[in-house]
Amino acid sequence: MNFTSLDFLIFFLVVFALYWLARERRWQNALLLAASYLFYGWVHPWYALMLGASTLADYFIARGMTARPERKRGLLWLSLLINLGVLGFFKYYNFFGPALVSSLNSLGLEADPLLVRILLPAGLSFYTLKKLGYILDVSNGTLKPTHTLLDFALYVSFFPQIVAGPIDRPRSLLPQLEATRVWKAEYFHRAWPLLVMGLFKKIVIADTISSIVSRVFGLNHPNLVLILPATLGFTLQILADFSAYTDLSRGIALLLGFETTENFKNPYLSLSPTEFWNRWHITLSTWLRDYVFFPLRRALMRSKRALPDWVIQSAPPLVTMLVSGIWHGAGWTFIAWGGMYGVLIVLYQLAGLRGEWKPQGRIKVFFAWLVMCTFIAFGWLLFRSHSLAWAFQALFSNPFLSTLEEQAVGLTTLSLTIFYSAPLVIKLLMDRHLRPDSYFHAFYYAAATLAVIIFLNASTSDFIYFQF
Amino acid sequence: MQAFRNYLLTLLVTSVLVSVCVLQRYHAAYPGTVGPELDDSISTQYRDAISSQQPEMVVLGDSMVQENVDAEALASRLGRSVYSIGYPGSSSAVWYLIVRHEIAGAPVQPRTLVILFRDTMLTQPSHRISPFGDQAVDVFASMDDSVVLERAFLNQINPLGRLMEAYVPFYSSQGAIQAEVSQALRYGSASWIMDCSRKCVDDGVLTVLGRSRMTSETVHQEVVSVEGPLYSARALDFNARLEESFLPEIVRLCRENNIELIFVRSRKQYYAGMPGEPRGLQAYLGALQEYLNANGAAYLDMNGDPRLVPAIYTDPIHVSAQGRQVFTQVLTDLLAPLLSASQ
Repeated sequence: MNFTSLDFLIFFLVVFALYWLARERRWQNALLLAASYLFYGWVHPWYALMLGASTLADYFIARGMTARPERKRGLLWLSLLINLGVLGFFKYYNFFGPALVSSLNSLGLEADPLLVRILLPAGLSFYTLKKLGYILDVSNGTLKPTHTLLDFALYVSFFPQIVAGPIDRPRSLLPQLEATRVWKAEYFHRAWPLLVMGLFKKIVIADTISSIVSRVFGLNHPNLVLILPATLGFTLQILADFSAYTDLSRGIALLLGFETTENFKNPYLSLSPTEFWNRWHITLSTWLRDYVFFPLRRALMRSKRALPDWVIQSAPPLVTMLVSGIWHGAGWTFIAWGGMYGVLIVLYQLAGLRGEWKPQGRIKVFFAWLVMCTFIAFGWLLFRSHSLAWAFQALFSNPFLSTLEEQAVGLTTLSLTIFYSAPLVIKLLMDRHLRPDSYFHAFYYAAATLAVIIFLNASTSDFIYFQF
Repeated sequence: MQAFRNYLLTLLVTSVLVSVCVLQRYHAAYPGTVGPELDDSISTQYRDAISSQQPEMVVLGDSMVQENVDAEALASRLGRSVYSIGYPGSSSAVWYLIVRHEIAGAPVQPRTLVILFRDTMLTQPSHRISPFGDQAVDVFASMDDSVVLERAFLNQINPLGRLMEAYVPFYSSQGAIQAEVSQALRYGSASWIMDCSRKCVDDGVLTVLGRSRMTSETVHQEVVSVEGPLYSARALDFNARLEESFLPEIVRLCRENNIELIFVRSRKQYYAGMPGEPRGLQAYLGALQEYLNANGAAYLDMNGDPRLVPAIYTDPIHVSAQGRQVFTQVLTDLLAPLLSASQ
């Protein structure tokens, strides 16, 4: 079920009404759990079955860790094996799928490529990280396991977050699930701008720009004149799409009385790669920081063999960013994308431009921004490409050999990108310079609502991050 | 609270202003009619061709007919004159209109009509039809095609959508507004910066972003996304879908005009978003075959033929130039016994 579908609207209105009528926390949580499983299993009921089984496993593993501390390590490995095994199987089966098909073909067996294609359950990557965060916190002793299966199951499956995050941490979401919730008008007043902006960014910006971007990225041999504007278009599309999902998720959670974590803070204004990852997909970045980066750095620093400082400084960001790339997808393009950020972070560090670095003067700021923006866009080119060879072939093609038709398509893509990015720039300026209750804001949201109605379509495409 | 009050007030004022502007610009009535407005300008291209060529057999379908079937080879192998109508992007609503106005309505009708379809297409009246209007329907429908309006358009608009279509002008005119914005962006910059005319831009989009230049994975995904609705649980329920589809109308028109009607289920390589043939499809096809046999129409299936191997396909539906000959031969071999028996 998609947040922008009529099915979801009806579903949510029913859940919302029953939820606030229930009043008692236990009933509210039970209702939310049932709603979350219905939401998640709407298209493929087996998704919900798999979610239920893995939730039960982690609940009992966490309980076992406190009941039998001497078995903590073994249980942690068991949870890692289950979670990473399931994630790896579904995510990387397709990576090896083509090789499997050719092996079968070489044996004289005709294998339909789709027969060996296992569909990745939507949201698996997100709820796996949520569960792993919980298990690792319990294992480290920084979190006491919840004694209520209902609360834990709801923490994992909470429907506003299950498909594409934000990956809220147990310390932030579990206490809210365990607390009594009473309706406050404040929830609505904070939720409606998020809902309007979420719908606007998804329906008007992301879906519109995606029509031409996906065509260019679907070409066999695009050239530079086509790929550059399409890359800028995708840079806009992925921000609009993913931040729209987060806005809608946070708005829906707020209407149910939950405060969830912000995922985006104007990431394209970043001046360095570290700053970018502090502003982009924040809940993933902090998860990776806490469970991959810091433990790895600690392990390297405490290593019995004295390691050179450059290894201790370089390895954690490189490994963390590679993990981020692999988490996003099975393919060399994702690995290259993650690796690129790892290398950039190391290079910026070597140049003395760490996370807190801020250049002095507007011209330096502008150039730092321009350089980072170029890296971000290049990263998205790798991310969206079919293969590295495809990306580099497009990038290094001779633009002077392009035809008039190709130039016209390139220009059209660029015009669309500029036109549809303008509302986001205007919103950014308004948020910086005007009060939230100004009439300019009111007019902006009203215009965005009208645009949503005008662009509302029967077939809204899925959010990009559903596939990760 | 203040912010929300300001928003509501502004939304109200802008909605009224935009509605007035839209009504003026598109000369729309208020309250508007639900669904697209059909006019009496109707294409006669196929009727004229059928009248002049007087083919014994017409093959009708979507791009699959256009790309997979070699009409000349089919004609020479069957020993009958054949005229093929492969309208890209069409489905049962357009096929019904073509049967009604261009084939049954032709002064001289063909003896046989072959409709090439995929799986549940015949009972999906709104498949490939936008609820806000469809160019192909506009081309072939006349004002008295209320059955198309009801089954292809109105059936897919929910009560909220109907209300909005009637009372929110910028919602009912969304197709026109979107087209205007898109055209301004598409043509404006190209003509301003490159002196590239509308035709130049349109040709550019068609040639540069055409299917022939796409990767097979992209084409596959596009087909999957378009064909997905053919395999929903609702779509696979033949008896529930029959009465609201165009199939009974097509069968009736052919029977009334003594046109031998043959439905051929084409072979498709992969099923949309699923690892094998969708569960329930065989039951659907059994019910379809039973219905057609009971109503004097024939049902043939290309799926059992071993010659239609994946290698001849360029995407799940279309075949290569070489594959075209194989596909045509398979179709010939299926049709030949039926046609000789009916002679």
